[in-house]
Amino acid sequence: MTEIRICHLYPKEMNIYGDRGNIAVLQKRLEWRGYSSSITPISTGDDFNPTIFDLCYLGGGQDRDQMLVAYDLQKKSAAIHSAAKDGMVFLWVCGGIQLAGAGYTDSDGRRIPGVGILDLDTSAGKSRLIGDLVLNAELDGETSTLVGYENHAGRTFLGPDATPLGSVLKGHGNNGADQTEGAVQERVIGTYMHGPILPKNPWLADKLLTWAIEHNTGEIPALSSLDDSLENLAQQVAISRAGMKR
Amino acid sequence: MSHIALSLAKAAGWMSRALGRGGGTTLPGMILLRLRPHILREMAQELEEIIVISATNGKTTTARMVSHAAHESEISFVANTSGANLPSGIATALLRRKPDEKYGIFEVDEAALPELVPQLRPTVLVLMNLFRDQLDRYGELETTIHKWKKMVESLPETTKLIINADDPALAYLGSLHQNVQFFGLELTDHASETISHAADSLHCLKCNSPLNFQQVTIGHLGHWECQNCGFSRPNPSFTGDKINLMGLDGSEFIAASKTDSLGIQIPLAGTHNVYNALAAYATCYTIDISATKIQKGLSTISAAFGRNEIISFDGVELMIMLAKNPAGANQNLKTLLLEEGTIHLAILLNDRTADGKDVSWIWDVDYEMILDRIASLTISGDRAYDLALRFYYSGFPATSMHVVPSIQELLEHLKSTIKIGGRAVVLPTYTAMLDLRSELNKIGATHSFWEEK
Ligand SMILES: [Zn+2]
Repeated sequence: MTEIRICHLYPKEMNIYGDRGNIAVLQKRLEWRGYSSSITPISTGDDFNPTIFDLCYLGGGQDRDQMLVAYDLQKKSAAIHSAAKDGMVFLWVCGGIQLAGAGYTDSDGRRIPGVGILDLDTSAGKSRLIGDLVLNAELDGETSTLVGYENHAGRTFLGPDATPLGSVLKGHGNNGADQTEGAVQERVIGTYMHGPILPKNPWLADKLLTWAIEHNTGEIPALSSLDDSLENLAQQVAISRAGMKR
Repeated sequence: MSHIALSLAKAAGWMSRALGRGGGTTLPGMILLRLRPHILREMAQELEEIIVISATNGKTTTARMVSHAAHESEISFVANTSGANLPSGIATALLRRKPDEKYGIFEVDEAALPELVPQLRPTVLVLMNLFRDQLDRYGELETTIHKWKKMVESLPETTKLIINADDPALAYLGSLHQNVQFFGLELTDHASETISHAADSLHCLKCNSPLNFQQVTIGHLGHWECQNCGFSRPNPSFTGDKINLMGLDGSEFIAASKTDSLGIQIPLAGTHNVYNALAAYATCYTIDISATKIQKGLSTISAAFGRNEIISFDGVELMIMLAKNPAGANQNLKTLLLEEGTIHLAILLNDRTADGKDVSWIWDVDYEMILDRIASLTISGDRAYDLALRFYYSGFPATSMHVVPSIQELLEHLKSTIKIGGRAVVLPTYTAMLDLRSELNKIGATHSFWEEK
C-alpha cells in the first residue's frame, strides 16, 4: 500500500483557524481510496528533511507565534526550496501564505522574513480583512468554486512568477484591491482561506492529493470519486451565508 | 434633559418587552448611552461596592453565584442577570436600580471590559480566564491580553483584583497590580499532564519561552512554570482542593482562604464550575459575606440560562449546555463523560454576529472523545453541514447522523428518537440557544429569559 507522507509544520504554534481539519480531510480522503498516510509534526528546532515528504502543510497563528516561526523557518529555508523544486506539494494557509513569500512588513515597519517559495510580498494594512470568501479558482486548467473565511491584516501582492489561486467573487482576498486570492507556483499553494479550507472544497483537496501521490509514485493517479454530498451542501450554505445566490 | 432621557429609555424597555423583542435587557441602555454618553460613570458613582467579573468562559455563572450569596446575606444589589454584558446591558441594569441597591454585581464581556472598567470603577475586579473565542469578533487572544494589560496598569490601587493563578497570562497581569489576590485549584485527579490540542497561552509573558505544566485542568489552565526565567504560578490566597465531580448532578470541593476553609457543594457539573464556584467564593470572601451565607448561596444556585439548564418538553428532558468556543465545548464534553452509558446528543451551530461568523473553531473541539458514547447524533443550526463534516471526517458515519438545519425539525426529530422520560444533551452556540429557547417557549416548555432574576 502506498503511503503518502504529510509534514505538518509548527502544529503547536500555527493552528488558530481549525487547521487540523485540513489534515483530517487529506488523511481520510486517502484512506477512503486505499492509500495510507503518515503525519509528521515538525516544530521549531526540528530538522526539515526535503526528501521524505510528499506534502507540506502550514497553518495560521497569532502574530507573536508567527514571528517565532518565521525565524525558525529561515533555518529550514534551503531544504524547503529544494523540496519545492523537487515537486513536493505545499499548502500554506493564512499566516502560511505570508511566510511563503518574500516577507512581511508589520504595522511598526519591522520586517519579518519569509522563505520565498512563492513570488509575493506582504505588508500590514490599517484594518483587518475579515469575512466570507468565495472564489472562482483554477488549477491544471480546471475551474471550481472555493469557499472559506478570511481574517488577516496583511495585504499581499503577487510578483510575475506566481499566479493567483482564484479570482474573488465575494470577500477581500490577497489585498482587497485586485480581486486576486492566493498564489500558485509549481505545486506550492498559498491562500488566506480557512474555514478550514479543505472540508468544504473537496475539489482542491483531491487536486493536492493527486499531486502528492504523483510525487510519491511518479505516476498521475486516477482518484476514485467519493460521495461528496455533505461537502457540497456545506459549500452551498457557505455561498449563501456569504450573501451570494447560486 | 436628564429626566427626558431616563423616561425615554425606560419607555423603550417597556415597549420592547411588550413587543417581545429581546426582553428590553439592552435597548433602554442603548438609548440612554446615545443620549448621555457619560451616564455610566454617573450612575456607578451612586454605588458603594461594584463587583465586575470577566472571562471568556464562566462569567455568567460566577456572577450568578456571587449574586446568590449576596442575596442570602441580604445585601441589596443591582446586577445584569440576563447576560446582557455590553455597556448597553449594564446601563439598562443601572437604569432600573432601586435607590436602596448599593451594590453592583456585573458580568462584563471581555472585549468591552477595558472600556467599561474606567467608567464603572469597580471596587473588586475578578479576572477568571482567557481562551480563544470568536476570532473574527474578538481578534487574537494576544490582542485581548494586551488590552487587559493596559487596563490593569491604569487601575487605581484601591481596586481589589482577584485573579485566576492557573491562567498564565492572567497571573502575569496580576503581577502588575499591588492590590491582588489569586485563586487556583490544588493538584487534583481531574486534571492531566498534557496540554490539549489548540491550547493557548503556552509561552511566558515575561520572556517568551515555553511554559512547563505540572497539571492541566482546562485548556491552558493549571500549574505552570517558565522553563527559562522561573516565572511561575503565584501562590493563591484562595484554593480549591479535594474536588469531587458527581456526574451531571453536581460537584463538591473544599474552598480555603488563608484563615478558613469551607466545604462547598454546587448543583453544577464539571471542573469549570468548580473554578466558577472558587472565583465566587474568593469574591464573596473579599466583600465580607460570611462562610455560611456563601455555602448556602452556592449550594442553592440553579443553572444560569443555557448553562446545564434542564427543560422538559413532551415527556423528554433537554439538558442545554452552551458551547461557543473550543475550551468551553471541550469542558462540556468532558463533563458528559462523567456519566455512565450512552448519550443522545444534539449540537447546534449558528454563525451570526453573537456566535462569531467564522465556524473554523469546531475543528478545534475534541469531539473524538465522545464518539463511542453517542446513542444518537442530531445536528442543527445555520451551519449544520459544517458540523456534519466535522463528525464525518472524524470517522463518524454519515448515515448515523441526522442533519436537520431548522429548530422545529430538530425538536420533532428528538421527540421521535428519545423515549418518554429520556434525556438529550443539547450543545448550542449562543444564538442557536436563543432560537431553541424561543421555539420551546412557543410550545410552552420554558419561560422567557428576561423573566429570570
Ligand atoms: Zn519566562
